[in-house]
Amino acid sequence: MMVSTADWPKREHGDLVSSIRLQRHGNALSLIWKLSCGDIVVASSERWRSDFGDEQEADDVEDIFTREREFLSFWSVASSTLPYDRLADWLQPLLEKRRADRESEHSRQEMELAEANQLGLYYADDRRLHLRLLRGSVLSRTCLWSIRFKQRSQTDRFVDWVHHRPGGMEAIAADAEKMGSATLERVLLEEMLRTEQRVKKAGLASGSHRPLEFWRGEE
Amino acid sequence: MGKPTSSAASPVTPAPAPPVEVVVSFPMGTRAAPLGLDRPLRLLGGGEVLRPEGLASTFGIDHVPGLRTFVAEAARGQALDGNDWYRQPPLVLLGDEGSGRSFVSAWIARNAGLPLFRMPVRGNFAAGSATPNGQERPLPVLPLLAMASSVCANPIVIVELDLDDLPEGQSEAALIRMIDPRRNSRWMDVEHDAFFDLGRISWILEVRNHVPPSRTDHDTRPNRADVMLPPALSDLISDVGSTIVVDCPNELHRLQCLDVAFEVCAEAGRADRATVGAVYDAVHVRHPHGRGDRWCDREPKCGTLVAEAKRALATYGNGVVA
Repeated sequence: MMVSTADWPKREHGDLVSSIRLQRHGNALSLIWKLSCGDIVVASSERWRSDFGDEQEADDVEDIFTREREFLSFWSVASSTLPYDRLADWLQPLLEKRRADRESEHSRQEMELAEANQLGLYYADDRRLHLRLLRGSVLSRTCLWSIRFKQRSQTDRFVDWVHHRPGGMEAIAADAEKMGSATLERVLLEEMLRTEQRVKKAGLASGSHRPLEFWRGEE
Repeated sequence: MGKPTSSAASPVTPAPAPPVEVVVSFPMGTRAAPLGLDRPLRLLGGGEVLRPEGLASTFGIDHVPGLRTFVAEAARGQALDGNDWYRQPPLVLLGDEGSGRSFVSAWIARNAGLPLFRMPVRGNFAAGSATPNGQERPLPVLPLLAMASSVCANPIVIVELDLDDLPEGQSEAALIRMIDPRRNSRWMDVEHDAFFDLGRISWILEVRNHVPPSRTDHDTRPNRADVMLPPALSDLISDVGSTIVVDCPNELHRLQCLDVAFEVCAEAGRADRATVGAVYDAVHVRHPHGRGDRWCDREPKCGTLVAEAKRALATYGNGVVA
């Protein structure tokens, strides 16, 4: 059969371009090879098509092909020349790696979120006279409340009690927002003194400047 | 994962059309053309080869960026000019030793159905300009020998240039007279008193260098794309030819192995999926790392991959799993 001039677009239409495109229709992906000249498609073929069971799997495969252009070129030839089971054998580990990457990314994000919400009472100075209630990660922390003492033993006395306060640090943070810093300080110190009195009556207090040093929250 | 489907883009084998024939010699005197070149010669590579589904859609060259577009443009040019036979503009293939330039030439020749010849050209190249000496007559130049021996007016001739010994001055001019498509349809052979039409030959200029590829100097050796051809030759290529760099980096190594496996199988008429798969496995398992890979002690030459593929195909054919 002789070639006809009608088979090809005229030169005025522009240069020929050979390209591989990944197309998605729902959960199906296909690789289309095209030889085109401007808007005119001179030749094309569907090199590969696969219907995936779920959207996530289709997303993962699309992501693999989009990230690695060389793999796309390889796949476009391999899918037309190699056994079908070989293709599945290659795609499976890539999908598993993609899943593992996604899970690890998810865990990292969760950890970052947890770190960002982490709440703790920290010494603000080396002399341990100043306590601060901080929320956030090491890189970015917000002070929600603070309290100062004149002696280190007073700080220790407060810390002995506050760690066993019902509700923990979250309750203190909520109270700080609700009642303000100065009021909260008064309320907490009163609570501490009342607790010390109860514990002393129960005979569980130690005799030092830190009556609750060996108390573990029992009433 | 769903079952994949795919469709191969290999060209359909056509019913062979009678070959077009043409006369390529035009004697100036009474002497007959040498080698029987005054008889009509075939023009090959027409029909399905020139169709968009033909050479332009065939597998085996995707690891060489730009080559598919180049052969597609060549096929379009011939079809639009009403020539039912294949010819391409002069093509310069640049690349390190072992990068796969010869594979490219062989791929074009086999898939276009054209005979392929190699013509070394050195600094002292003087085709058609030697002075006759008494009874002694030189042999016809290689392109004439190529046409005569293949009885084909449009073979592919690889002009093998050596970076260390490029033709310059008159040698360069002689080469240009031979390959310039604007003037080589009336190429004069003084010794044989005739004009010859070399305008249907597809010329491929392979620029060779003697730097063996190695891992150590991969980053420091000069980029072959920067190779400077002699000025007039360079102008000719800029005006009417194309340059393609054959430099298969590690990222394309797997694709190169697959292209080689497919081409070797197709050449043997055994390009079914199972055979190509087995041959590809054998090639890639033996040469898993490509050029520039940090794990690669010795970069695989394309010729080595081809030899490996042929060996694997022969083994697979004997019923032994490669």
